[in-house]
Amino acid sequence: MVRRMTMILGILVSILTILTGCGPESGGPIAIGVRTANDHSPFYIADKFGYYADEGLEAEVQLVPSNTEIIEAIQRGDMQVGATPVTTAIAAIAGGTKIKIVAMTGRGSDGLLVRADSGIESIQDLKRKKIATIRGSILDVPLRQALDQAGLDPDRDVALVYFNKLGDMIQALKTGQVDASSNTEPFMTDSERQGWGKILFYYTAFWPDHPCCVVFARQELITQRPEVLRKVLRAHVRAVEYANVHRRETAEIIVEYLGAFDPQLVEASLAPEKMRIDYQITAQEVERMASLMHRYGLIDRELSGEELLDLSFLEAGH
Amino acid sequence: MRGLPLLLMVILLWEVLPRLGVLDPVLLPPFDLVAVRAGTLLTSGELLLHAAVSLLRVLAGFALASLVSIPLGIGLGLRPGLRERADLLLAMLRPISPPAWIPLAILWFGIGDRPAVFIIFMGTVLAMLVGVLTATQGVDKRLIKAGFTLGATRRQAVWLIVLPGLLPAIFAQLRVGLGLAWMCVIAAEMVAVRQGLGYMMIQARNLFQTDRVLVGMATVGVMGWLLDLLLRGLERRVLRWREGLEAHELFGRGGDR
Repeated sequence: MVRRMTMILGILVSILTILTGCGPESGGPIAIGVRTANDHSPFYIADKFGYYADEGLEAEVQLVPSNTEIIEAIQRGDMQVGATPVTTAIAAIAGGTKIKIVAMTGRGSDGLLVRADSGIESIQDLKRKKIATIRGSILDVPLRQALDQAGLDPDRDVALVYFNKLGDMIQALKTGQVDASSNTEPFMTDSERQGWGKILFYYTAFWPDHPCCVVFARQELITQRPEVLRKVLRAHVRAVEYANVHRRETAEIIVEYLGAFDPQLVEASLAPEKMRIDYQITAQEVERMASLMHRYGLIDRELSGEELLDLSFLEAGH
Repeated sequence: MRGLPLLLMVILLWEVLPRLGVLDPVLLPPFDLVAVRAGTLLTSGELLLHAAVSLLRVLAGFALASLVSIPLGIGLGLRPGLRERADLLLAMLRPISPPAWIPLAILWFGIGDRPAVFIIFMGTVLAMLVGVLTATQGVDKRLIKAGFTLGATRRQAVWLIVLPGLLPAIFAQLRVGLGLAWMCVIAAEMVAVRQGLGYMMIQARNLFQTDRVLVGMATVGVMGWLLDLLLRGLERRVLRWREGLEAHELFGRGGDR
């Protein structure tokens, strides 16, 4: 009986070890995990125009359904580079994931959406209102910070209602289940064009040029294949520069990858007053976001710049 | 408690494998760290609150599903004409997973407890319904005929012959349904709630707090086990008359060969 049990457990452990085993780190193609979002467009551009191949890299840009799944794939070693909102990357680092933020990919683009007929005209009108958000996300931390700045306590003066999907939040706002929804582009511009939504403000009004999505790399890649990361970032910088000069073409590429929306809408949502595609990043802005997350109880401890970032690759490559 | 040694061995491996570096502790935090986290959550009262809220939602969804699936399953099982009409709809509804109901749950029930209960109900009711229906079709026709011969009315045949014959299958379906209800708790608590084990696990996953996810999973496991134990106790009391009639008694240790 004991022998049989031990044998079964042995098989289970072997399966678990194989399933959780890390992917190859020493060579071969590199996998980059991104999502379908405006500020992830530099990765689509680099992929479409062969910027990675120009650097002599065999890179595969993979569209992943959620930020959490990108981090989980990086944890397992299935991917070596990823892009998510800065809040996701900070939470992952606080949770022990061995990654470093190495560049920016976009700023702004998030804000607060209300119904056009809601009568809500300013942030002060949000007192005692229900606001949809995704706790701990880039839609949440700048929202709390904006409320704080306006003298509203995020936990007392408004009711934050937690969701997990942008689509569910928009539906809840449309049907009057909530009074406002923290949201992002191009969904906010889309709701205005449809006539039912109104962008109350972008969070850039409270934190100018706030960081949105960042690029990060697995620690093994940084230490074992630094030249690969340097090349990835060179391609990234080139793609960001292309996106900032060719807004219409970038919108068309985004539509191609998003599989929804029309190019004109996406082009409008790329306007400089709404968001900015960027690769430059500072340690201070990331530390500030981490500090806010700690203050709002979203991460257990304060994180230092050394734990969060490695900007040497960006500085060396540019 | 014959299952305890296997459980302890799994816990031992859970502790040792990440400690020895066989498994990355980020992917599987060692058992003692998870136990410490569980202790912190217990003493702060947070875990009990989440568990109590989830328990109420699970019981509400499960109770509604039982109230609908048992009478409907028996009714459809006894009326072939009705069953044929319902078959297509049931076959099309069954593959729809609980999270797929979320948008409709928000539209129909708003936000809060009601959509959560609805999602648990939808994830539970159809499997129980089909189970009861199939068991009803399998009731021995000869017993019912004998009842009619002895002068029973249709109502008496259902209450005195079909229903007692179905009780073991109904208890089996209740146990299946209760398990499914717990499995739906994560999907149910994705919708605009701020308490519950599903909520706790989703938030922990989003913030990469794997130890909290594991505490949530273990709590769901323990609560599911305790409720199953209660249901089995009730089953033994209600079905005491079946003692000595069950097939497994012939095969177990010291069975009546």
